[in-house]
Amino acid sequence: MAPTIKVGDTVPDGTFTYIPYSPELDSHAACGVPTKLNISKDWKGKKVVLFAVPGAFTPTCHVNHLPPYVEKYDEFKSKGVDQIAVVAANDAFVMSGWGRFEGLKDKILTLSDPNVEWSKKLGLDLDLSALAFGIRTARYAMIIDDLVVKYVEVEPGTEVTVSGAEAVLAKL
Amino acid sequence: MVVKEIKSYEEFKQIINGSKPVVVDFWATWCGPCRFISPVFEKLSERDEFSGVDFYKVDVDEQSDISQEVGIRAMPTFMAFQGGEKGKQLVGANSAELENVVRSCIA
Repeated sequence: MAPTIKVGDTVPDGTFTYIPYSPELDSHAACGVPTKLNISKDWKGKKVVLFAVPGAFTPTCHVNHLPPYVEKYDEFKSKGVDQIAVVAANDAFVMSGWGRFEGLKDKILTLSDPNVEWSKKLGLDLDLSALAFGIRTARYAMIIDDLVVKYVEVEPGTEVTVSGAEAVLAKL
Repeated sequence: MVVKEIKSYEEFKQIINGSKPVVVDFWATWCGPCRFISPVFEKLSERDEFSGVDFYKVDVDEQSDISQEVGIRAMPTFMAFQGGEKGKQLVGANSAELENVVRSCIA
């Protein structure tokens, strides 16, 4: 699918689900409750770096895409980023598990795009049925400042380049 | 006392605004830690020293209005209320800490 969203557009509204981080989740003393993030309400007035991966725990996403965002967290913060979030088609429970596995704590939000609805609106979904994955989010990264797109790039190949932490940092 | 289930948002508002201190257990049927701690909560409700506290539970799946209002992020969450004010809170199935929350109501 080709992206229909471009720099300068206002992002369409949408809802992600996620389980907010709390330390009790790490000790298995509590179960997280999925809650909703409403884009036009919760991201109004904020500078957000959103990157999407085809699948939590899958090789490239797990090894090459997410870790650099964690490592460069302070650099993102120093450039005025209010929120870093990773989104995928996986449900909120899987995303919460991945976030805890990676030790993200509350630094990076791990979001689920239910039925890939929002990404589809932007032409950023990807049909991976051939790999038995079904419809997923494409590998992309966006800088959204007060709901306006400042940067959006979809990875053309299998490597992490334009959607990676370094590329996005350079645009902030 | 036994742990009573709160069945509506209106009922919840009445209970937390009352003059008697209450502790509410926010739980879900599918949550393992909740099932572990609920007998502990029941036992606390039966102790004479805590007869001055009312014990309640809210199923967050059935009463999403209530859980949204108080902002439940993980379960079990125990919250103490009295006269419309929120007191101590505990997130997680921790028996010792739970007793502290109940005790704080009669302190």
